[in-house]
Amino acid sequence: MKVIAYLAFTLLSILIQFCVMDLTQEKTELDDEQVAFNGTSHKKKFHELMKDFTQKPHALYYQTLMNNNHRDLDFRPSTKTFTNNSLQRLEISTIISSTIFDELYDDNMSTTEDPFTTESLYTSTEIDNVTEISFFDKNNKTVIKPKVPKKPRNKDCGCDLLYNVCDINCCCDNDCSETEKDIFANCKDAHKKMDEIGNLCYPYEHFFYQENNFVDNLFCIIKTNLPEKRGKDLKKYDIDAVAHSHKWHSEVKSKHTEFQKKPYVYGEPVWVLKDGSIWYIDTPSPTINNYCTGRKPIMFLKNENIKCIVKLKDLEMFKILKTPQEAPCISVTEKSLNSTTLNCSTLHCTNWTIIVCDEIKCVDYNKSLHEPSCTETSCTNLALKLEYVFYYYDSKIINATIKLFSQNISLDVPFMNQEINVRFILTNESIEKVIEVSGNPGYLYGRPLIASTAESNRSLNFFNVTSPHIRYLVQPSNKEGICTSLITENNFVMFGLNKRIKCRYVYHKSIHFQNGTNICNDIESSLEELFGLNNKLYVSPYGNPLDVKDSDWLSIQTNLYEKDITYGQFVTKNSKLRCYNVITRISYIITFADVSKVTIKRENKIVSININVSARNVTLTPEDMSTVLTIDTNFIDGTKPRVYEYAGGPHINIHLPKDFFFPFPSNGIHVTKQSYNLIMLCCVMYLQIK
Amino acid sequence: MGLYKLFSCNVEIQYKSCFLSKAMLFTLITTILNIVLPFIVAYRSKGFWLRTHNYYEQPVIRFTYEYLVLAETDDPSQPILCGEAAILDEEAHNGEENCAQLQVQEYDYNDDGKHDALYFKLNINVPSHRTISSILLLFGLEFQLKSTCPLHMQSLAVIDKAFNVAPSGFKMYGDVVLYQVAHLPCVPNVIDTKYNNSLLNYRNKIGDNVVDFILESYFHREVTTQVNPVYSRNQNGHTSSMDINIHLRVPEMVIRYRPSILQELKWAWPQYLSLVVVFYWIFNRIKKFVFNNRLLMAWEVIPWKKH
Repeated sequence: MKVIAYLAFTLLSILIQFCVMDLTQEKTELDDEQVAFNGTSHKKKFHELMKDFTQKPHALYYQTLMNNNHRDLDFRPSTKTFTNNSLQRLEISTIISSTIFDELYDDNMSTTEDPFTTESLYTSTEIDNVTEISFFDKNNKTVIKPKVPKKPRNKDCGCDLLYNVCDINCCCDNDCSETEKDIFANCKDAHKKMDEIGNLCYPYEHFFYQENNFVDNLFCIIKTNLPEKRGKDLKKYDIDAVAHSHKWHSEVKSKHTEFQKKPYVYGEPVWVLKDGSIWYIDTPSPTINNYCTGRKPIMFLKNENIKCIVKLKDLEMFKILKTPQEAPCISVTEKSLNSTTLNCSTLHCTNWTIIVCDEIKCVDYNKSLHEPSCTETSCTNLALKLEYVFYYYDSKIINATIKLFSQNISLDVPFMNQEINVRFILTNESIEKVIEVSGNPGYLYGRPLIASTAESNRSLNFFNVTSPHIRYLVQPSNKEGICTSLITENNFVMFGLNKRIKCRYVYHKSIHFQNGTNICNDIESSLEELFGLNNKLYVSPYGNPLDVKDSDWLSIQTNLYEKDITYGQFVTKNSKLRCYNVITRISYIITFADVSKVTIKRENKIVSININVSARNVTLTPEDMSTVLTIDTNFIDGTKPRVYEYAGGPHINIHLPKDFFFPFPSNGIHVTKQSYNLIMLCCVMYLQIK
Repeated sequence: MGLYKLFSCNVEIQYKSCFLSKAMLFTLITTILNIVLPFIVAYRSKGFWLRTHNYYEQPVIRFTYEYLVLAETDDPSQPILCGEAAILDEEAHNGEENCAQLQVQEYDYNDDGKHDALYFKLNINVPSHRTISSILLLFGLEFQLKSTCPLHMQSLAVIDKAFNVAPSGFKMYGDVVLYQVAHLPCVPNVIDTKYNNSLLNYRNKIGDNVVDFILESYFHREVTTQVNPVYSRNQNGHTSSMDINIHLRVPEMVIRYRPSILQELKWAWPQYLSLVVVFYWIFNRIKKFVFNNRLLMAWEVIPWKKH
């Protein structure tokens, strides 16, 4: 009983506290509002309003406000003018009905003045919620004339945007007549809540996060009189906001440096002299997509490899053939530093050398021979690949060469791939005489494997420019579908790159009137030559073979000798040639390891290199003497991990004899081994403790 | 009138022995086992040490007013590039007049100082006789985590879309999400500013292609923001202009981080302690059995008996 009495007492006290808080809150708000209020007494107004009530207001009425069965209450603003400065407050309050209730309540409790509520009643049109209170009955309705005199502009009406013209669906717009409001969507709607009207008048984004109020959820409170949770001080603003906000900023773009009379340094454009003024030379570049949309200057000592697509008219070679002859490449020398004029007598001028290369050799450009020409379907002597080579020696560019790799192109497709290389070499030697190693000393990724066919002095042979032996390991590659094995960079076996290449091998000799086995053997030997298996090959274990002894060069291990003998026979019916055991796949397996003593640097050394060949039976016809070959490359890192490995813990296999629980069959109940042990342990312990 | 048990207490019976004795050895072993065994059991049953932890936070995301919009037309020689990047050459901008308008709005709906949504509206003029084939939008964002793992970085919102037929508009609704390839280091009271540099403001040009360079550099970051498209819609029709509307929400994000040592211990301690209690009870029962039954030599000190 005591507990119940206590609980009842607590509830009562909470209730009283709520009521008192309500009262005090309203009072404080009243005081605040007093300043902004002008003119007529609100108490008076409120009493005028109250006159229309036929019965005393009661809180219970407000519980049924949402009842749909209303009379068509036509609330119209009175002809009396009221100040309306409380719309903002309305927006915050939950439902207008509760506000009304409070005001009525307050009045009954002999509250003094209340400008707030009356204002809210008149500024909003949502009063039709209060049907049963019948603020305004039918008689009252007739008093109001259809034409409302112009009222002052409602300053708090967010949707009143048209000056002196009624805004559509804006219920608080004083420019709107009652007839206009009648046809609007929401002004008449009896079921609309006040907050929705608020949203209508203050159009914000439709996207709101749900704010959970714990107190609201717990007690289902219609209205709280807690202070507003608004940290934002409306009167103040942050003066520094401009400084710490992001803004549209000026567009800063990189600018190329202007010509300065000083010797070249890294990253500076390469200058040319044209018509007495200084320009930089540039190359096309794919700035934003894969088309050569932009141009960028050739930077001194900056090697480039640019690939982009172009249309025929935008090919770089046409520009090159036009301009460079009359625009020599210049270098600032000591002599030119002292003189004021800029011409070839003071600067060091280097004329351009243009050479044309095909797959085999390079020759000087001859206009009559190498002039590009096009028909409707194809073009000849077009250079899709070009190379600028600058030889810098003795503080000046001594040679500037443009290599055009010419080829014939069919015009089936509108775009073509253009490749431009820029190379700087700090020597007066020709680029062909410069030997490149693949790392120092360990191999670097993407560098060609150094190989030699020489029987002795392999390292010396490698560095000997005139040596006839090969320098790099070559494998066939796919050129327009056909296997080629030319000694070009495209065909080198690159360190660390795992690849699978497919290409078609075509046998060109005639096969008629010959022995099938002979032809197949001939095919086999030409394949071995293509794969480079006819010579004994050695590979350098390091990327720099300078100090590698002959005995340290790795000989390539092949399983060629394990292969079954090749033979062939004609299938006489349709004169097909069937070759047995022909090499169709070659696989390079290269094992390397990091032999560096320090952890921060890798030093890749090739440990072993194996070539495995796979043979299969191939059927050839006189019309199609070809087969598809596969060339695989695998690089395997054999480096042992640096982390210390600990031996695993001893594995103790303890189990009871099978007949330990003889009377109970061991497979009768399926229990896991772990739970079995656990049960056993528990049993033993229990017995012991007992 | 019955009697109720109101309180009880134990009488302590002590067992004493000298240092070098079997009883001492037994006690030592059981004590060590009592400490070590719970640790082993807790460790072997996995999850003893907290390797990773995560929490949710809505980051502060603001548009830095850096952007790059690339609209590719059916002719690759006529792309439309809007926006700016420090590494772009002056001459590289062609067709910039086609970037008619970019409108940016940031919304904070719940007034907590953190933007809840970003809205980008872009209007592009399509060159005559051309159609837009794809668009790539890079918007620079400032990303800030403020609570557990403070982080300031400049990230990107990358939106990529290719069109099969000529578009007249594109709308996308999506979320900006945090993508981590590694845990945040989460050093207390230290703001992680490893990536607090703008990729669009990077001046050292490495690659030829600006867009590829930005994307590659961004790809190599450990912490990035991504745009997770919720809905997108393209409007067909070959028109002379194209409207792109991007609505991005900023939801709460999961942030993975490496827990500090204290947090690790806090996590491990209850696991260990709960097992210690069990083992303590077991070993106590064993000891009680051993000493009560005088299996090991020890003096029994009973308080009410005089020795």
